[in-house]
Amino acid sequence: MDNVIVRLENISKSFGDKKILKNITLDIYEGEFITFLGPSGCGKTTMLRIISGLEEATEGKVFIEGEDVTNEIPAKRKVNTIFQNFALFPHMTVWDNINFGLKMHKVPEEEAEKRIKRAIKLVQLDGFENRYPAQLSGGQQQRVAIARGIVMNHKVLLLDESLCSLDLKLKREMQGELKKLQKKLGITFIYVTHDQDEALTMSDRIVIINKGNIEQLDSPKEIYSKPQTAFAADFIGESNIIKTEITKIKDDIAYVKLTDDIELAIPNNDYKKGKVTLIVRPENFNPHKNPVKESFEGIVRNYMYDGAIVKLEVEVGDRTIKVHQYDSDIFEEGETINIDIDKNKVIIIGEKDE
Amino acid sequence: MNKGKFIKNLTIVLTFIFLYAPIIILVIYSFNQSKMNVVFTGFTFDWYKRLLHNTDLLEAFRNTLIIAGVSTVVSTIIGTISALGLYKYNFPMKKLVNGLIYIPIVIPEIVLGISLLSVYTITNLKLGMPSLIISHIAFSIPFVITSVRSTLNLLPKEYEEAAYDLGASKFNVFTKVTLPLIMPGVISGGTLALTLSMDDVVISYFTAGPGSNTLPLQIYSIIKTGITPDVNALSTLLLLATIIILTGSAIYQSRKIARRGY
Repeated sequence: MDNVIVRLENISKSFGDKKILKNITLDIYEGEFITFLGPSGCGKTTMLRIISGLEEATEGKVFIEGEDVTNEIPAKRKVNTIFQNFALFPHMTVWDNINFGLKMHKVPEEEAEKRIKRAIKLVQLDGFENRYPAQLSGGQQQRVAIARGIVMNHKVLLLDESLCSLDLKLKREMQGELKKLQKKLGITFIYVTHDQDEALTMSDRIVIINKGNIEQLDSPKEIYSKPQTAFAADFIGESNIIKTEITKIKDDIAYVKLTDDIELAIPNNDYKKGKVTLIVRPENFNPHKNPVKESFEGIVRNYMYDGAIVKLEVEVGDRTIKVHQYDSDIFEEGETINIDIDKNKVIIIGEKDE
Repeated sequence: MNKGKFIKNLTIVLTFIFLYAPIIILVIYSFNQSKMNVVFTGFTFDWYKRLLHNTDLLEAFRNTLIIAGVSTVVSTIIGTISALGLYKYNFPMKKLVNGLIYIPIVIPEIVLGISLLSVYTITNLKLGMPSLIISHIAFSIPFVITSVRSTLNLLPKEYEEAAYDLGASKFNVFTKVTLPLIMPGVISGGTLALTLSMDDVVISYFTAGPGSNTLPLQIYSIIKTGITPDVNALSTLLLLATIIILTGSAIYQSRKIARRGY
């Protein structure tokens, strides 16, 4: 995973006076599954379209396989896009759809046939060659779209919210299959989504994009456990995001105010006194019946059973915090409980990041 | 049967009688031995035979076929290209142009007929087949544009983008993807142009010259002296042709829809 296959250099994009992308620089490596994740309108799809050439960057350069393709038309770029609505040509059979790109590139018929057969096999669509897209289910259409892309033998496949239109169960299934397919082919998948679950389960790396900026670029695990901004923490998984301050630092311990009466003692990590944002994942607050060391009290205000976990909303002083509990139900609404915190899993972001 | 249902059914029956009785009567009288459209005196094919020897009518029929054929092909091509241009490109006053396209559709035909005639007079174009063909092309184009544009508006842009992405040239994107997908609109626009041209009376009346009589004009001049059974026979044949064409296209379309879902 050392060869850079796609490189964006200082990419900016504006539509009129609206800045969609702001000076994006990003290296994407050969064989990785990278996800552009962000809320709708954040610029993630525009980024993908700039790579494919369907959109022109206002500023900056695009490199694919080391070649500057900034001014090349989509046909000349060694990437293919899987569209959100699949965009299968409705007047062509599955075979002709997959063959379209090969025909346009004047691939000899014999070779084309071999490649199409292989692609059909890879996406498990044997026997559907002569069907029209309208005669296929959503999942099957998705497979045709993928086959149409991979048959081109390019090293990069761009997927634009490709699982979005499928129902939940099929979506889960396809997530696994996509990941497997990507490993098998050994090519780079650049995946665009607003669905954080999807990003976490499939990606090698996630690029979190917000308002045209890259908020964080990391592996799913790093992003989840060490979000660098409040936005990243909020967007990926659930978080308690608390604006507060560090009142004092003494002997490698930073004292962070939770409420007026409660201060948390957190191991110091180059923190500075003053205003900070405290981020705690709900599972890093641990509820107990009886007081434990350094615990504080709270009143259960809401109790939601969610299968594997129980989600509590707990009133602590003038704040309400989210607490996840993995044991069976032992707490009731209105009950006073004791909470302690996994000190090493707390994230503190200084004022400047806000 | 309750009363509401009875009234509903009666309305339907009366509507159908009102719509189709004249046509049925026309067909019946085309087989009538008597020359008068009053009593049915006996069954005969005579009027159909006489039709084959009516050189004026045959000549008019030939003219109509030529005019309709040429004007349909030309107006379909021009209309389709215009619709694509209006759909794809932005230019100053595009909204105004979009609105202007509807004007030939809504203004009275007689105004269009007179204005075309004055253009031909000013340019010294001799009235005849060319002037008729030009007129028919002119009034057909807006219908083709409207029809093609409505299919274009329903066409997701991703189809063309996918084609570009897969390496198609502009020409190939058009011939292999865009055109096949808008074909239903092109065909219905063309069919509209064909039928409009074939039965046009008003505009043709103003722009026809000697020796360029069209079928509708010929029929119109015959019935000035009363409806004769050979006109009935001719109308029946036209009716038959229309039914065959429409049924054929309906079967084709529904088969296509069953297969491809659009």
